Amino acid sequence: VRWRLLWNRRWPWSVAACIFPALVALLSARPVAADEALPLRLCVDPDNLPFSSTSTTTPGFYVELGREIAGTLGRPFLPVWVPTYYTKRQIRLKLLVGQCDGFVGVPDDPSFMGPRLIFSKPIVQLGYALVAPPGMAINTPQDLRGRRVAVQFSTPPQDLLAGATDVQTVTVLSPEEAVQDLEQGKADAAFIWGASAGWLNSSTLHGAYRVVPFPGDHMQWSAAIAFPKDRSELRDQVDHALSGLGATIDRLTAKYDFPVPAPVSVPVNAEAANTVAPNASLPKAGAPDAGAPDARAPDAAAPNASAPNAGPPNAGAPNVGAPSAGAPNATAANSEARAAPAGGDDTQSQTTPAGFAPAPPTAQNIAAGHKLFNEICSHCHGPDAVQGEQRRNLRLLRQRYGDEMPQTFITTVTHGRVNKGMPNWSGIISTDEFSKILAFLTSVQEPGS
Amino acid sequence: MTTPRSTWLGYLAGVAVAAGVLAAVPAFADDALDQALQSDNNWPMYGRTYGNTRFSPLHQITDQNVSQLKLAYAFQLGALRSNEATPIVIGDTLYIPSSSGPRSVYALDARTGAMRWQYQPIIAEDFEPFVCCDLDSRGVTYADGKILFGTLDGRLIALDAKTGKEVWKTEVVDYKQGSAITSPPLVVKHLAITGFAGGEYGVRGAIQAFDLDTGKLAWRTYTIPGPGEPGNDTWKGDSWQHGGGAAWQVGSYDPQTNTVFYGTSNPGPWNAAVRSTGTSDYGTLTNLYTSSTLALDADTGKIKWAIQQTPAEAWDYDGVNENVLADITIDGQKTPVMMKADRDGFFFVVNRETGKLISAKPFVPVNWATGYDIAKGRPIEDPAKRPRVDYKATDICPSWMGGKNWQPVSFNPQTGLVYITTNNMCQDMQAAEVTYRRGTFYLGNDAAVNPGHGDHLGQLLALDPATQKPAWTINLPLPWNGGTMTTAGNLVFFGDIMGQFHALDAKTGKSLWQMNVGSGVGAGPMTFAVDGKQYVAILVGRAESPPAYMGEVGKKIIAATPEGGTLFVFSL
Repeated sequence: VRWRLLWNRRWPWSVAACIFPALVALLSARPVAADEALPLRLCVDPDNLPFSSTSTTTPGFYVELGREIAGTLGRPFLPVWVPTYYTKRQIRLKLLVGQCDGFVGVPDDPSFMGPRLIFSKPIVQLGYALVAPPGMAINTPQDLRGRRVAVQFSTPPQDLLAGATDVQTVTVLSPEEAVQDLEQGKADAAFIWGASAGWLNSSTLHGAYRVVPFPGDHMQWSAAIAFPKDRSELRDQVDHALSGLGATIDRLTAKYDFPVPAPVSVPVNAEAANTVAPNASLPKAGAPDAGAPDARAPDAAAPNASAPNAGPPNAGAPNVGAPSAGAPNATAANSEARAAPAGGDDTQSQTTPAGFAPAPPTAQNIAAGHKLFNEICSHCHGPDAVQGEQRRNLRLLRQRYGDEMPQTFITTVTHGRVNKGMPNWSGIISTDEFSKILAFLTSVQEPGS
Repeated sequence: MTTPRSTWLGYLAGVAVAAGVLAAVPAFADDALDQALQSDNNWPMYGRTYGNTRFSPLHQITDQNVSQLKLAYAFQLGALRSNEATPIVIGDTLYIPSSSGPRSVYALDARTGAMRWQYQPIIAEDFEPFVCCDLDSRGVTYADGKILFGTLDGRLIALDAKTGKEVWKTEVVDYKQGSAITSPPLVVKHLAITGFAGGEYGVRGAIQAFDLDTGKLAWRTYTIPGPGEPGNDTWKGDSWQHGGGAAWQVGSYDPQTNTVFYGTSNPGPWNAAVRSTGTSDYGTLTNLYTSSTLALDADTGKIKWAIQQTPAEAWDYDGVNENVLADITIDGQKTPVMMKADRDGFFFVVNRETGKLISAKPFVPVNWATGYDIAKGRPIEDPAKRPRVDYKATDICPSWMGGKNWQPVSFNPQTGLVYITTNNMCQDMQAAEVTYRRGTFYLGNDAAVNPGHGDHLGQLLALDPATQKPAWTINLPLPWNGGTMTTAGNLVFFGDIMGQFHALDAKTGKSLWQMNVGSGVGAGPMTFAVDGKQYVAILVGRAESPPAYMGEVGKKIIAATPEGGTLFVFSL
């Protein structure tokens, strides 16, 4: 099981959104093919359980739902496998040029890629959850007091707990790591992406833990299927199909152990939302407008009026296995407020990407990070990160920073350490590239003594 | 010794009546500097003379007695790492900057090392990310009772030589574009001339002259022609705007023709497809005047002529290495030449009055080009050695370190030999996509250096420039060794990256003396005399940044010695 960790990589609004608008406009104006007799082609990730995968036994929620929708429409179903690392880019490169008819698992938010997309009804609610042994009775943030809590780096839960002095956080990079920490007794509870937690709990831990969804602003979102704006006829057909598939969806969410939303009381939500807002100055998410509160969520307590230009919650991306936090546009504003030390001329961005973590340590990601590293970083840190000066030695990051390694990494590369010679690379290296570079560096860390 | 005997006898005669190879012409420079140049005792500028020969006519210390050399004093500069300066001596005062800004500039009693003054410039705290290749300062320049030097945050500062008090300072370049001044200015008449670094940051190089009295800009010549200027059409599109060509090394000056010579850096970015065809068939897209030598009118900065050592450069072969000016006998003809041991591995001999290329031969193993077409003034490239985005070229020799890097050569008119510390390193290289952003690296390249072929990584080479044949060589276990200095005592001095300071017989290369100075050496040595006593000085303190880009060999350099920052002065 491999989880997509980094949200921003998938929807790099701030960087990527402005790159090909003309091209997209051109391509999205293609005439629509008559597709009644054709397969329903839905773009899904080949390796992102519990959402989708190429596995025949557990193809994932989106794949099974897609098959059901196609069946209802009387059409064959054809998954179009698209890695969702760069969700927006893939939408441009696949959906908007007609290589698939719909893109499953997109935040249900009109501001997501603006007017180019239209959306189905929400297909599922997704969000963060508390994970703890059944005997621990952890249902609210208050219950976390005095506990060691595993939180994923750069996620709204981390922001939320950052202000709590009586909670000891254990920063992790992935839901797997969080669950591992639970298993090994390094943490008492975890506060992570619920669908991932549920799937891990059932598929590898035999249901040993309770997974309790945590509602509220930035914490819960709804996912939908996106279509090109000129495919409203198809969208309407799909919506019609979905209205008859409620039982199927319930069956599938149960099959894939999506946590069932609802149980926490409203006052806690309000407190959570309030707690998040002051933390907006954190280098990552948690911005007030980061989470597009989903008005359709039955238990949504927070008004969504606060998010007029909301980047749809990154975290809400249903096809993101373990997304993290806020929208980049919120982050940019935050980091201005941070007033990090100037690293260069005024044009330099000082944005710390929201929801940062290393890319999953696949051979492909590591190789990509390695290449980037040698092209960009090696001048000072050595080709292959091999060189002899200890203070430049990035093979010692783990020994030097321990669990803080990813956070230290992303803060450093996006702000520089100008008084020590390290430039600010934001705007030159994308968040996705940073995550791959970190995946490479993570793969070459020297073991500690 | 392969030079005809008559050649160096002729030079001996010349030296007997003049202070240096090119110092014989009066009234071409600032009066005080003129005067300083007249005395054999002084080392009045970086390369000792305008010709950057690093030859001293002093001969109290000779091949016969150098084995008796003892420490006279040591002086700690208070800044570690990349101490690359050659001190200068005027009368009985030695002037030297430390690295890191410089953090300090010192005036010392040249006999004892007693401090006369210390000046500490206020340097921008955030300059480091804009300096590509270490925090060095290669020295200060004397003229008009002033000490002049550039800073890593892009300024030129003039101090009162007697008191160390600031007279003026001026901004040469915005360091935040990725520029620094690492080399001392060249003073000609009433002008202090300087370039700046930034070839790795996509700057547009320029050479600028500042009034010695006021620090006001007198002229500026961009090394890359703008639209409408000759040569601008050697650039693809508007790539000239970030085309590099930074003149970060020292200049030379020929008073006979009133010509200033500067070398220019690699073009930006390293990925040649951005600015040229990206192939060996670069046609007219040669990217003038990068990896070139410019001959400028000293009064106006107007470009008289230029040669381009590496057209459409793609390997980080800067053309900045110092131009050594001397008159040598080639095929029986006394010829006014300019010599350059280029990064690209070719040793260039050019008629400095006409700009005509006389010879260009490899002085280290070279395979990116199979030779140099003298008539066309173009290298004969091997296309298999040119990196592209879709093609990784392997085993390219030399590496980005160059056949020689900044570490200065010397030329001894008595032996007729040029003394070069060379690098025998090769590289694998592939170009990559690149985005320009002001103040950050603009490279687009993946490079890995590897040991070169053969039994050595570095070498001290004594080359006869007239015949392009080596007289002798000394193999060194590592590359990136220090520059050289040569004297009328038939001596060559240099420090190696292992921290050994050497004296050798200039004719034969025989080792005559050596001393452990405790840190790797990059700087060139110098010599001077006060009160009838000759001294030899070397600044010690190995680099940190360049070795970080040298893979396993760089690790050996770092492991060989700690950083340092000490001036050692020896005498008999």
